[in-house]
Amino acid sequence: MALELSTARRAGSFALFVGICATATLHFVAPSLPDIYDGLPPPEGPYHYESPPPALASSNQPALSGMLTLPVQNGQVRAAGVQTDDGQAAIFFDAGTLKVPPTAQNITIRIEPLQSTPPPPSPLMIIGNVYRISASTEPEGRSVTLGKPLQVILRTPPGAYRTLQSYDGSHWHVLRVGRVTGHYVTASLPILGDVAATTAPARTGSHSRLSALDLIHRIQGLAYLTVVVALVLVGAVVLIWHKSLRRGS
Amino acid sequence: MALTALVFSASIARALLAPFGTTFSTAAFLACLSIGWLAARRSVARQAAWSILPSVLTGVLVGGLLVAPMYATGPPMRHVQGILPWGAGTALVAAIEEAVVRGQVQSLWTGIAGVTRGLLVSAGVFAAMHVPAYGLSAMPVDLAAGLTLAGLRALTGRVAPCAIAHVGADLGGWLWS
Repeated sequence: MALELSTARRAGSFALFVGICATATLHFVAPSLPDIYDGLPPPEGPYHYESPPPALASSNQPALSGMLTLPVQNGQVRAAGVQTDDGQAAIFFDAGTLKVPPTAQNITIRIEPLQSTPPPPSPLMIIGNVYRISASTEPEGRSVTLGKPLQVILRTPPGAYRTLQSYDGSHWHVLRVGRVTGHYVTASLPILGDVAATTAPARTGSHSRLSALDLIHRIQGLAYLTVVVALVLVGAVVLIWHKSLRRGS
Repeated sequence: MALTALVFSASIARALLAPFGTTFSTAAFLACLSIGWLAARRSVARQAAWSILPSVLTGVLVGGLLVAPMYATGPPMRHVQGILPWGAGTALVAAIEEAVVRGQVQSLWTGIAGVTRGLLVSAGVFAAMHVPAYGLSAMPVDLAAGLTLAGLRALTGRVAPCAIAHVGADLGGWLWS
């Protein structure tokens, strides 16, 4: 018993030491990783619209922009994150994501809410703000491109959204959406440009053709149902297992 | 094994239910974990533990060490305004997670496979259970934090210091972010 106890404490002390060192190392080596371990999304104030709906115009606070200037060292820009001052849009990238000209000394990354932008393909429509994500060298002002995708986090206003899309100056592209936490949606952004959340108006006719997006939503609905059934089954297994253990003892 | 499966299922359900709102998805997650905790609570053997005061102090210290690297690179960015309702919800989630993952999953796996494997399984479960909601990018830091909290559980023999450290790290992280 004493031997087991001392083994537990030795292993515990070692794991504690390794865990704390690893946490600190990860923070400094990969600052783009999330630092919050768990919990709930932070409390949210009202959505800040760049062009508010008429009903919200009187109480709306304007959407804010964000900017960050970073040094270029050995032709590379370090991993970093930029967010708007109201926290509604943010980007994160690893070292080497931004392709910079060899002569560049600094780069400036901007996230700006736009007043207007070309509409996405029908029947989709934009909900919330469109944000322009751009990067340029300082002081030359030359555009910077991406060597690999960066992560964008966008806050969506209340109401259902379908997906995030980016506009490259000529076409809208559907982005690969990652995690969703409350009204914050993460997506992978392969090129710099405009980003927005889009939705589709509700269908009124019963004979409308099923779009690909509707199909995806129906599949998601089935997935929810499957998970709920799976949870009930797992719960039942746990209870049966528990009862069999009690009988055994 | 069934309890571990339930924890994973609850995490996946939480992520899938996210579009219905954080309150709903988190409540479903907590309900599933609570079912697991209730079902398994009599199966977990008690173990020798530190007394309360040093356990609590160690929990506070470890929570501080988990957030210390953030504060080393800059001051808190957020005001404490609005932290109470958010903090209460977060504390509840963290405490129930610790009760199930450290209090039961780790103890049961320690009984089956030994201290070291129990500790590693607990850290792995903690990291994996957050992937559906927070993405793969959160896994390395959750694995490191999971190892820390699992070590704290093995060292003190108690769940309370793990919950204190977890809640402290969440709140400290929120203020800094």
